[in-house]
Amino acid sequence: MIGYTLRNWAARIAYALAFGVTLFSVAAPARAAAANPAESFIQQNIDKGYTILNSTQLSDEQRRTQFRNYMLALTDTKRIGTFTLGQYANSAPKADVEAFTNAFTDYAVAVYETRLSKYKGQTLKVTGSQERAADDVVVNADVTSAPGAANTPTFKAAFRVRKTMDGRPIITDMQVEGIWLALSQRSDFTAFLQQHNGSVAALTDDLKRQTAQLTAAPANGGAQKS
Amino acid sequence: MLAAGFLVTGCATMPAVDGPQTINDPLEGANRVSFNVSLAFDKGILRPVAIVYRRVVPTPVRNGVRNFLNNLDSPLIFANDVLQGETDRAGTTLIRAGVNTTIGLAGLFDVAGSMGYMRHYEDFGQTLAVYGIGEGPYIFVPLIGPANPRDILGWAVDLAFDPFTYAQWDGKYYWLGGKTAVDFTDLRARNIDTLDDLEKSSLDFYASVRSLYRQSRNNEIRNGATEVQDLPDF
Repeated sequence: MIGYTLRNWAARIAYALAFGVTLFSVAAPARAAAANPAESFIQQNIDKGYTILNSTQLSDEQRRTQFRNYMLALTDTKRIGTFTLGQYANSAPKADVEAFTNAFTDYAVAVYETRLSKYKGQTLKVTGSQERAADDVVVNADVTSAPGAANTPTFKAAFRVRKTMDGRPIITDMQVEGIWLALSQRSDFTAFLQQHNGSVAALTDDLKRQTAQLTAAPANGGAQKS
Repeated sequence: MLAAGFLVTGCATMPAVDGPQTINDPLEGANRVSFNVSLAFDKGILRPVAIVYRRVVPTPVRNGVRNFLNNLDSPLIFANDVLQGETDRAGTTLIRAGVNTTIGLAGLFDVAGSMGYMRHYEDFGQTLAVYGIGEGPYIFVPLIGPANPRDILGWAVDLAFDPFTYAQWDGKYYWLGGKTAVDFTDLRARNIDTLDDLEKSSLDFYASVRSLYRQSRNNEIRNGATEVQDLPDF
């Protein structure tokens, strides 16, 4: 009945929003015996994120900078950004697409930063992987909440690991409970473009506005008026 | 009736799940109107009520309420496990219901979960998908949320099947109304920050909800298995 639908999607969205956090918040670094390079790449980098997150020697500003550099080294925001434009990436002026991917990078970092303050104390453990192609592996993981958290069960996350031109592993997408981040963003952005005559420049402006709002927003979303 | 809108797709062993790339929203104009009406209702009534509920009712009590309501879903989940031929999962549902109803004090405590029998969810909409029935067009049902003809038929069947639908109090169906109201309030309370965040980070909130709903529904139908070959190349 009606409640079921609300339960299904709202709960899953909650998991999806924990995305950024899955990557970085690890209560106790779980060292599974990783079976392949993509799996150890994910587990090791999560441990690294954990170190940044929990360092007591860093100021907020330093932590923010380190976090940004860490994230940019781990993901390919240019590639993801271009993907999120869908077919508009081919038809829009090149300069517009480039301006967009720069804005997208700031947006992605801001999204992660805002989540970061909310979902501390989760544990992520790599459980296995599936290979799409030699340079395209989906690494699966379980995310467990800290004991005593309000009814949040273990949930599943996945990371899509591809390779750069020079053979370096890189994350191109992340999934929580079946929801892929880049796919969701593409749906959001292409819907916007559809309603704005395909103007990537307009999308970039809006994305910048959104980024500014995200970085200015207070940490506790629940206390705000709508 | 509703079944007329269904697309029966192919073989019965593979869940009928469309690729995540397709938008599948021919009724977008009407759906957006419905979405905006629902959002206004949410902001005017549901969200404020949920905020008060979260503030007033302590977390352990709210968790008890959630566990209790979850336990009431057991007959439905069990039936759909069986209909999908998932015998292991049906067994888990049965054990959970038995343990939580007794040791868990009528479902207030999820004792089975702490014994390793984790909760999963099934409904008749998922069962139809496993049988190969296509989802049909995306529909945003006013005040209720995202759906499709397959899910709407699923609700109707689940509602008719659920023994708790027919529970009466003093000859009246207060129970069903009360249960639904508490269920909605608790769910909304659990997702206040989440939905606020989603709205804040979306350029087109309607499109974000549509995408998340379809992806998460497909994930449930596949019982959490990732279909890596369906992913787009980029």
